[in-house]
Amino acid sequence: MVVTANGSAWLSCRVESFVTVDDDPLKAVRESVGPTFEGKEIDDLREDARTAIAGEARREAGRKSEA
Amino acid sequence: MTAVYVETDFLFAVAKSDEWLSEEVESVLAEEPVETSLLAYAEFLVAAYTEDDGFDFEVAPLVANMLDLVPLSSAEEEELLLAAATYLDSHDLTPFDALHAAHAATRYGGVLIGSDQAYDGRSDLDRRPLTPD
Repeated sequence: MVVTANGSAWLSCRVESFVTVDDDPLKAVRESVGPTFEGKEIDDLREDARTAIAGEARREAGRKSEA
Repeated sequence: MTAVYVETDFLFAVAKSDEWLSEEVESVLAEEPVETSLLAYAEFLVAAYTEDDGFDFEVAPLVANMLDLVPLSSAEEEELLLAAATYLDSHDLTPFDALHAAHAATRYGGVLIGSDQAYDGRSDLDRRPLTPD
């Protein structure tokens, strides 16, 4: 159970309702993800993620300097 | 048995059934305990997220199952990641916003100082602006 520091009932309830693990978690993960990563190489996924993270950091820095 | 650290590639191979490494991953999972970091999960979530459409799947159930296979090093970190996943399913937040929000909500009484207005209007978060909005 997640007990938030401010006792957020909303968050605790939401998290609890999702913390269920399937009998076959690997199968469940692959069924959930479905075609999301289909046809993409792992190296490309990793590089895309890191590029997106760098872009997010630049946007964040831009927002802060505008503030 | 001491766990082996796995990085983001391993998470992708867990999730991708069409990946040639998926059988290797299954062997590792069967043979030795593995652990990863919040950083690896953050990269995984960023790769699955698109700015226009968000995620194609419900994040929290996926994360719960992923954590059963590839845990983090502490229960506190797992709670934080599940909280972030919950934010992603419930709010229009980017993966990084959700992780920041989860840190604030689970460890800092919901108080967050920052200029990003993405956190506003949420009952469990109290954003205090870095500068006047």
